[in-house]
Amino acid sequence: MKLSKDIYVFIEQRDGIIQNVSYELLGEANSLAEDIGQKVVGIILGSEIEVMAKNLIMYGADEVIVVDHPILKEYMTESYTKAMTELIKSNEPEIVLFGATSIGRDLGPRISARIRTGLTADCTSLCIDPKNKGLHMTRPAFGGNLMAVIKCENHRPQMATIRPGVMQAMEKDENRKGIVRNVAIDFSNIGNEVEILEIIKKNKKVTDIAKSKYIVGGGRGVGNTKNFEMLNKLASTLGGEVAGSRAAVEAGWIDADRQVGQTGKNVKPDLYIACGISGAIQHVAGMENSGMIIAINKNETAPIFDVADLGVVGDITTIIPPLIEAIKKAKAEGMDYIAPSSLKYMGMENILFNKKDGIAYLTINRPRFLNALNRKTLLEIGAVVDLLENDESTLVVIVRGAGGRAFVAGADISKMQDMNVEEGEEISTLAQTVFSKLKKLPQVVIGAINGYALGGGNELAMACDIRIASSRAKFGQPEVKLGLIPGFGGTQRLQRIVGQGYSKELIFTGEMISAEEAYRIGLVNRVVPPEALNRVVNDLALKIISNGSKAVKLAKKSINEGGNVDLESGLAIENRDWTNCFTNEESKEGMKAFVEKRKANFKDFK
Amino acid sequence: MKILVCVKQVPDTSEVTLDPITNTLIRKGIKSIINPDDKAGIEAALKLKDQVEGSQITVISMGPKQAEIALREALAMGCDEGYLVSDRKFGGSDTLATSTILAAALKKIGFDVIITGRQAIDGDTAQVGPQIAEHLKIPHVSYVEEFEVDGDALIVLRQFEDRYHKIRIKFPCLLTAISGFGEIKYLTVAGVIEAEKKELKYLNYEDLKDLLDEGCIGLKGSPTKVVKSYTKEQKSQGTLLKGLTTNEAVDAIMARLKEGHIL
Repeated sequence: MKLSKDIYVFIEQRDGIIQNVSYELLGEANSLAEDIGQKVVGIILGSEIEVMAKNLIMYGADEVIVVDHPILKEYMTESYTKAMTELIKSNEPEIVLFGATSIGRDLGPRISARIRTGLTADCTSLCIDPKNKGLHMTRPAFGGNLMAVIKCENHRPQMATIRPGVMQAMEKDENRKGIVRNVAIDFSNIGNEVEILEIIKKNKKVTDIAKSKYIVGGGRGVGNTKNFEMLNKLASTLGGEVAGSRAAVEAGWIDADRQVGQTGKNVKPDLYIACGISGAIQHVAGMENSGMIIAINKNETAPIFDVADLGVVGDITTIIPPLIEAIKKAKAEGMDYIAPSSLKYMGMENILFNKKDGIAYLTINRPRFLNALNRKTLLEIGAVVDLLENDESTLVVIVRGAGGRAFVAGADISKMQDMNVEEGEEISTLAQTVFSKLKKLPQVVIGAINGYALGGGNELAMACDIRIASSRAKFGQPEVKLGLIPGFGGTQRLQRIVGQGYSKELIFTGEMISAEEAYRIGLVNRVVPPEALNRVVNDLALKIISNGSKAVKLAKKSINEGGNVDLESGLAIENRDWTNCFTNEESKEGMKAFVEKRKANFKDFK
Repeated sequence: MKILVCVKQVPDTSEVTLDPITNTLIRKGIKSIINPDDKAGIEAALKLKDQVEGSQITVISMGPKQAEIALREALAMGCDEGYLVSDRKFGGSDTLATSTILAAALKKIGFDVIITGRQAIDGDTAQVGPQIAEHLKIPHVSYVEEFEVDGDALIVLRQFEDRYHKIRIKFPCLLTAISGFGEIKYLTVAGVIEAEKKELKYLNYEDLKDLLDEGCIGLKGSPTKVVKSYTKEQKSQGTLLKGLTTNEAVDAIMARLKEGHIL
């Protein structure tokens, strides 16, 4: 038996237009092909459709099999089943994928019964079992209440229908190469048991909400058509589409092709705003993979709040009109950094922030990912730093990593690998901005480095004023190993701390160094046993706090500014800040106490 | 005309909930119903019977003894006789094995037309109907919304996402019906009493073994196997804000839009 192990994708075309789901399946087939090392073959059936083959190659097909015959112009079960079955039988693919559309869900079962192999319906994810290279197909059951992983071990091909909208199509690549093969199939024995008498197109303009980046969904709670009009306005202000639950469709407020859910469409926009939607499991199943879910509902026990990133208990009719205005204003004026006043609403997920007796603790809290820095974490650090800038009650900020294994193991590479040039530039700009703000904080920033401080982690540590390391800590700038260079300040700050020689060695080799070595080259101030780290850092903070806070801040300012200029200019800066000390009461108390041989009481001057 | 209707007894999934603590399905107390698309199939069969004089409707279900309740309900709706296909050997069948067994039973009973629902709400596969047709080597049309009799054939309206096909399909054939087949007929007391008087018929492996390959039924004869099932991972808790003024609510939403780089 010939084992071609190819992955076949049934390409669905209607009136000569390739359906989106087919591109999505080509994308998914490509990632599966990486794991089983075989080629992706698109099968396109139709009449006068060969021209479309090129497009399929651009979207990921290594080979396209074209069966071009007048009988295949419109989908009919028998002719399509015959063509697919013959192709499968003669080429023996490993996997065959169909879109879970009204065509794929008709064709797939018929083929599976003819070949006698398994077919898994309506899958939402696929993966290859690393042990035996078999296909694992995940699908919802019980109205989305239960997920089941299905395998088809002893029959080939392994077949699945995949829900539209859940897989990722590849970027179109006009230079992609592939071959096109025309195959003739004999349809002469197909009888006239079934014939199409008439084709009736649904004539209304169909909007595919699944393509929209922003969706405003409405449910029963919207109440009436007029309120739905308001949702429409919100959607168009955002540049998105309006959608709804089954209840909204049944009430006649929106068309059925805008229904989201188990019996409607699966959507995963960047933003889904659920308005007056209670969140029945059937609806949630169709939108829960959205990038961000914001829910507004009067009823605080509505299940939609369980899946919402932000839930607002309130009345849509009072919240949405000013929200539309706010969005319009923001769009007109352009958005900058997150305003500190918004911080309390941010729902910090990746950092912990608390303050006590003049010390603020900023803990990077993604221990499962070794505290790797992603965009959101950087934004959250940035928001806290903004807040601290004007915080008179804090003198020392301690930066640390949660979980005991890492301070910060680097930037989140899994998120970076798909970035384009602009996104790459943007993340570096963001990190540099945040780290520079941290460095420039009026407070003293101490890095308590308990584990890996690699890449972005070392760069974060270097943005601190003082670094104390646990003996378990490891340091490094491994970017060159990934074909990158340090981008969060590493090429600049490291040389200013350890000199160009060590800096270049660390960056060019990408190797990790121990805490002891980091201490030897001057990257950290001290190395302490792991269990003593918190105590040592705290003691250090308390020592700083016992001093005049204005003087400490001025000293930091003077050192920071002086670090970037020549000595003469630096001395001028020092002279300015020294002079500045005499303008406040703190210095008077300090000097007086010294003369009186007592401990200065700086508390009143903070 | 001999009309066969296949029905499945399913839990009412719209009532299935998750236990918030164990994160497992709560099935206790969930009532079993005739699968909604299959009910549409019964409606379609009744409509066909009205159009063709001397027709008889046989309803058939595969499942445990409990499925008798679904058959009784179908009889009360107006079906003439009911068969329960049941055997331990049939347990654990996937769609292909199930369709193999049902095809054998349907062949044994005899038919001019078979009507199934498009899909069942517990599995949502929509596979068994077309697979039965393939085993019986008869044509089928799925997603059927309307039909009328036209001599030796049916003219059916087949639904797609963007269009309909008006299709002429000759007997013998199989249709899969979608919910929305005219008015659901409500049960009458007389109908229920009448149904109770009828004897259900049974088919087991012994009855069908001449038509079945033992290697193609039950768990053993099922190409697909469940590796594992799980309830979906609960999303990490989002933020729920209540008691906000309108301005605060707008601020909170705007903060998220900025944070998510949506604006």
